Amino acid sequence: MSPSSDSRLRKFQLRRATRISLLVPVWFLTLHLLALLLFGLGFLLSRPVLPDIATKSASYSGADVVLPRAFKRAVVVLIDALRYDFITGSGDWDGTYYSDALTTPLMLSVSHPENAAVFKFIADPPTTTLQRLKALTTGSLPTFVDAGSNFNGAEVTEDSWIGQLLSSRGKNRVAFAGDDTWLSLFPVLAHGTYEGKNLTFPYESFNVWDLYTVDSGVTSHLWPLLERKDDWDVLIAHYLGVDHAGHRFGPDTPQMKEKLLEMDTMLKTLVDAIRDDDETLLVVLGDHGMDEKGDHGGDSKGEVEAGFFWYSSRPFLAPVDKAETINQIDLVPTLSLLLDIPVPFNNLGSPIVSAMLGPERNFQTLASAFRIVSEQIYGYRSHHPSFDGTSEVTELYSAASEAWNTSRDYVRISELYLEFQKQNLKTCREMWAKFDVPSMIAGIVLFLASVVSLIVFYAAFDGSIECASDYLDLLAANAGCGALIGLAAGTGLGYLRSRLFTATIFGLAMGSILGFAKALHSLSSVNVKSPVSKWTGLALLSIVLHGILFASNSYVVWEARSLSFLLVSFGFILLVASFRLADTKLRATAVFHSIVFILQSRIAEYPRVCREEQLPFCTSNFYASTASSVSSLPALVVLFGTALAFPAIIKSFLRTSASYEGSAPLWVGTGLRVALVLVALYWTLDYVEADPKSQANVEQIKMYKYVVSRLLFGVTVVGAPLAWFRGVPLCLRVEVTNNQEKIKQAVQDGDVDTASKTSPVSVEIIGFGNTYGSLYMLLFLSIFAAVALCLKPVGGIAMAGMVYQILTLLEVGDALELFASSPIVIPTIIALMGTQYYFATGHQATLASIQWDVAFLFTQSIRPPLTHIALIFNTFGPFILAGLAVPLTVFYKLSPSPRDFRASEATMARVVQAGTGAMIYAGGLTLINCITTIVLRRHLMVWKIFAPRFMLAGATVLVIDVAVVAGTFFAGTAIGAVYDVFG
Amino acid sequence: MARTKSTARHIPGPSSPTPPTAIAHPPTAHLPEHVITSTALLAFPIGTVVLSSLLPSDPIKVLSYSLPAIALLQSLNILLTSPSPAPVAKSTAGKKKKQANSTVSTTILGLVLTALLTPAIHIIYILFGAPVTVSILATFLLSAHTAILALFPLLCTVPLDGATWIDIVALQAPVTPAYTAALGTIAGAWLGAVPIPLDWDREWQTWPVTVVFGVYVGNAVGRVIGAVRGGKKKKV
Repeated sequence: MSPSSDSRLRKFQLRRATRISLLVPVWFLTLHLLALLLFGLGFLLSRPVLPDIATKSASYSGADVVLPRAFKRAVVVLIDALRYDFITGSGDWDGTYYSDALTTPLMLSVSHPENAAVFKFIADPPTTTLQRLKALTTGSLPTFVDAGSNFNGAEVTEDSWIGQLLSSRGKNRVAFAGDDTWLSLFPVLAHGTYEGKNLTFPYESFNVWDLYTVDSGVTSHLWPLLERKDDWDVLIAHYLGVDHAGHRFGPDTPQMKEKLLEMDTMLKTLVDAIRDDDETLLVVLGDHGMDEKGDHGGDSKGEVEAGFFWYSSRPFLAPVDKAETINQIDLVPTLSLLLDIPVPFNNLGSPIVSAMLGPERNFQTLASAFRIVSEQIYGYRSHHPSFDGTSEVTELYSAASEAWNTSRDYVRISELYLEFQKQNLKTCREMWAKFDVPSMIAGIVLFLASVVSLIVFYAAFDGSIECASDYLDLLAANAGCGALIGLAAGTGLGYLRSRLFTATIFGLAMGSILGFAKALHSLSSVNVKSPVSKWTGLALLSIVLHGILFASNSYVVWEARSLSFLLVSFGFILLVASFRLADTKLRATAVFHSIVFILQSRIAEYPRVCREEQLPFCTSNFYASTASSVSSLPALVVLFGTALAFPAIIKSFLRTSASYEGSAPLWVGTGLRVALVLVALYWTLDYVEADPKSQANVEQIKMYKYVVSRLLFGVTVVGAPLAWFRGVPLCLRVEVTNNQEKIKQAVQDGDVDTASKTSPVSVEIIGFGNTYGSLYMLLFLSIFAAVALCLKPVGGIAMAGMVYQILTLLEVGDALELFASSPIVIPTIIALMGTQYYFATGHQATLASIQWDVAFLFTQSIRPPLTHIALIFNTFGPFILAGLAVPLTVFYKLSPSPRDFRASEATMARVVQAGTGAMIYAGGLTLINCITTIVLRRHLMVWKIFAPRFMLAGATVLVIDVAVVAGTFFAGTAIGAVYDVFG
Repeated sequence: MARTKSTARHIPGPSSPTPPTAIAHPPTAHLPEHVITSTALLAFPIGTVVLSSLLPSDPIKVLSYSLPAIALLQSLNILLTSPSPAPVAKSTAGKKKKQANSTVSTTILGLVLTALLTPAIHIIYILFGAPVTVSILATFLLSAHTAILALFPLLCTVPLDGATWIDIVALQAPVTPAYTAALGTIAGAWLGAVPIPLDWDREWQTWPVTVVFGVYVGNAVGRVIGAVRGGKKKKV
């Protein structure tokens, strides 16, 4: 074989090795994706929202339709967290503080059974006020993710009786006093005035410690509003004191009794006030109950059983022997029919039987009401994508309609319609309102297995393995076979147990893991190294310490500060280790950079946008003011400063290995600087455009903005990477020295030894010691510039800080030789920094903190994929950079071994290993998060705090995995290119 | 500086099989020292309990009033436990007196250095997340307490030369009660920060109560560990 064909073969082999190495992160990415899919589908209940508005259809005006007599107006008193046994007690005094306090409802319902009744009022979980209010007004089953048409999470976009009332009776016909959650659900209520008089009195719901402000405020507005009863059709009063008393003190406490007695007095006065008014209906209800500790959010008996009471001076009820149990959503069609408005389009509830029958027990009225609501539900089902064609439920509807058309047996018709509505609700509930715990557990098991495989792989697969590509070939084949077998088994079992989807996914993923394990076991040469280095232990410890934060809502809320604390602690450990270095100069370098790292970790905590739960202990400083989302002028000035100074920082780091040579000055000194100035320019234009006082032509500025952003995006994401792939811009300089003079001198001096050893011409490659690192850095910086563009000015500054901190960490790692002793520790810390800087770029673990406005960074309207890229870069920029930085832990100050094929392959193996390190962090963290989420799924704060944090963790692991895959690919290219030059 | 170097002695950690370091190990142990040490060992947990029960109501007042007391207690402890000179050839009464004087001056110098280093500890607390612009006095008092508990005994018992202190920062210095007490104090301060974010709304969660508590408990635990480790080595 000729040398040239041999070298070509080698190049081919290396290319193949780098390609096949990609399989590793891709495989783990897939496993994480599947595990998240299983867990997420079980946990994140989601439901598509239809925007349709109901109109009065033919079913309201049929010849034989008899509607219940309408009330002119209703007073809805919502006592937050009014548990069923608060208004009924247990019959006799059972020693609790809460029984026998709020007695008016029960007494009235016993003494006037045709005028008043008490019901057990069942809530669907999640039993949080926001979700409950949605259900009580729309008649639907709200889930955590109501995939609506707008980004504003809270506003109700579905049809509701509030909306129906406002559209049919006039815009100002709802009076309101109480919890301001109503205003975020129905912003239109904020304008409630009538003839210049205010009808809306919102109170902040936030302060759980305050039992009195809201309630006394509501009561003080209630009486005047009640006297102006011609000004409104519905009066809503939302009391919070009982809920707050529960949260703060618990249900069985003197404070609760006091609160309930206050409510009782209020109700007595209210009933007296409408005693002579037979056109007003009084409805008193709890949106949910509370558990023994006084908290709510989950689905325990105490939480879902709320109390319901209604009263009118006109007899309107068919007396029943025993207290009825009704669903909360039943209020919606009942109230709609009683107030004579169309039943909201999305309603799933049934009319309350005793009210429809009326004191005369008119079954034709009942059947009519059922028919109207059934028509509405059927219409909803046929519009909704989640229901497919004919099913048992639809057959029930057909049977009932058939009976309506052919017979006059209204009792039977009512029964048939009721059966349809019940079955419909049951299927909907199964679809939307239950955690799928087996699916969640399957997700966790899969996650656990993938993290364990990652750790095993990490431990087994290091640079010392002979012929890494052969080894991967075997593993890949086995994992693939396992996946196929698992797929078949999972599909089969899933089909039998009617859990096809879960079982298929689980089988596929578990099969490939088992195949991988079997192959690894059969490789006798692979031994998991026994002694774990202290640094590896530290890396695993930091994953656990970060993960433990998810066990408490307080730490999730204060995660940014907790992470800063952890990173500073890590910095001090680096400092201690630096002091152990024997070499004075090296020690000074390491100590200096450790201190810089500590400072950076502390400063990274400073830029912030506070989340609601952090108030009042937190002040946002990310934007110009706490109430705006516009950047401040000083931030722009600093951004320009960063643009000019940041390349100098990069230069100083490259200088330490004499790598600021070759293409580096052009790429970093000029290219990066210009790119960052353009970033600053873009945000300046944005600032000018947003400034209401500016005289500039907005359209023109917009055009300039788009020119800048698109140009910059094209250069940094497309142009520069293409140039990098094609041109291989090595940061090297070749220095040729002529030694003739030196030899001559030596000969003259008679120094034969020197003369013979010195070659006539010596060639020195400046920057050789960091060939890989500097090459990779150029691409990394290019993507950094694109990310910086997509972040708000303070975020861009923070990102520059992150890159600076990564370089500092690499410098310390190099001095302490951490890359060799523990390839996982630096990638872990870099990934941890990713989370820290996520907060520093103006985000929080809440949906509300997503900076939607950057969707229009490149285009005037939503235009995929640019809109999505801008949002992804903005939200996950720190994680993307963290994942891409991982190969630097191998490449930093690594010089190539010329003509050594094996060394290049080993370098690739080390890149893959470092990548698994970052994936262990991301996967382990998300695993811990899934476990805490499943344990805390009944926690009061699950939808406000834990579910958003789970979504962030899920996104984090995927983004880091994808970035690691991309980084591994770029690293493989760099290795191939360097081998082409030096091989 | 030079004077301190020559007079300061290490805590009479009995000679141990640790590799040779810059620090000398006088081989003798002294009986009164044990009495004092055990008293101190008792005094600190008791002090901790008393302090922590008083703290939440008015941390600044309690911290500032107790600061001189703690300083005095520590000084006494250092003075009484400080070793008499290593058996040199001549040991006259005059020399002994001189030695006593120099111990006092070492303690005073140590106190001055401790005071000078308090701002550095303040900065370290800020780095770990202590408020920068508010509660400055509270953080400063906490730093002073930490300095007196952790640094003061070290400054008085360890020679002030670079190599020794690099070993101390690098956690490679030989185990002595002063050293373990200092490490315990640091660990206690670190752990003391943990409960602050919890939303329990307790009085004791205000800054810096939990950290003060951690500092004192950590110091006491460190002392116990140091004494036990020292005792064990004696037997060997």
